[in-house]
Amino acid sequence: MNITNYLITYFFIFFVGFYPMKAQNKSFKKDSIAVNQVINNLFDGMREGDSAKVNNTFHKNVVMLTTYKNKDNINLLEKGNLDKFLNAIASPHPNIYDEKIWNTTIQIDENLAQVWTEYAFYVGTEFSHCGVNAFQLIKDKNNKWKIISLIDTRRKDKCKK
Amino acid sequence: MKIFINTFIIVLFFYIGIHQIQSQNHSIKKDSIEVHHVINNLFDGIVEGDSIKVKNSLHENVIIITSNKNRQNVNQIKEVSVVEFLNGIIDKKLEEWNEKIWSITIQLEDGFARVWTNYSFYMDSQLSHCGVKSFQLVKESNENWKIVNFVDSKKKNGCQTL
Repeated sequence: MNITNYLITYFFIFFVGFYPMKAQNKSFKKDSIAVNQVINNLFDGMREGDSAKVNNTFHKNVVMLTTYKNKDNINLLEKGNLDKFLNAIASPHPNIYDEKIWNTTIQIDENLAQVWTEYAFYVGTEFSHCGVNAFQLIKDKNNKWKIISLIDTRRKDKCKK
Repeated sequence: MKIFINTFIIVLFFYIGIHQIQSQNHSIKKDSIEVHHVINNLFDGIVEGDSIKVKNSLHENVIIITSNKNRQNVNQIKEVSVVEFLNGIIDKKLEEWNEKIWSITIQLEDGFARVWTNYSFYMDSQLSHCGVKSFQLVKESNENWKIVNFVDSKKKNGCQTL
């Protein structure tokens, strides 16, 4: 009888203890999938020339920055602009903007996420440049993940193709 | 003789290769230390109420965003201007601030770095709130690493106390 009681108690504690852990992992997994989906939508939208799809991945106040080295090997920081970016996607271009990404890492806490990914940019089949994309995403008031900042580095050499 | 020359060439290439890897590792190490230093200065400046120290860590066009949940559990974000941020530090009254950070990860690439860290903020030794901070830094030529943007999440419950 005693043993049964012990067993029941321990089983109970065991399951109650694990339940929140499982729930937490589940929400982390759900969030990672959702964040990953936003990033995929962005690159799909770029390939498809679908500026509405691309626009949907960004927060309206998104910060866009690019860092690169100029010909004299000086690091420069350039501010981008969402409207310009959307226009470039929407305006007709003969070759698709194909950005291939790999080595993606995602970090999430509550309603903040950051994504780091390496990329190589192709215009059609022609290689253009490579670097990393660094995203920060936040959950907006409708619980949708939106890109609040995007910083990319850009180089032409030492690229994986 | 031929074998000797071949061996010599192989060994030479080997050393050149090793040297390049080493110097690359050296620059990554140097960059991480510098980036870490900028972040530490920022937190030191905040708890010391030293707005100049804080300002030195920030790029002139820095963008600061905080995200949290309001009482109705709705996500909200707020852009904080540098002036507002620095004023908050200058206006620090008598209370004692302390901010602890841990589990720091740094990612680096060619003049660009990003830092992700957990934090807990204490006011007069009482835990006030916690969350994570995500910093992005750039190194423009002849400049130190500067924070170009940072976003933090804020929560009051489920904080790890150290």
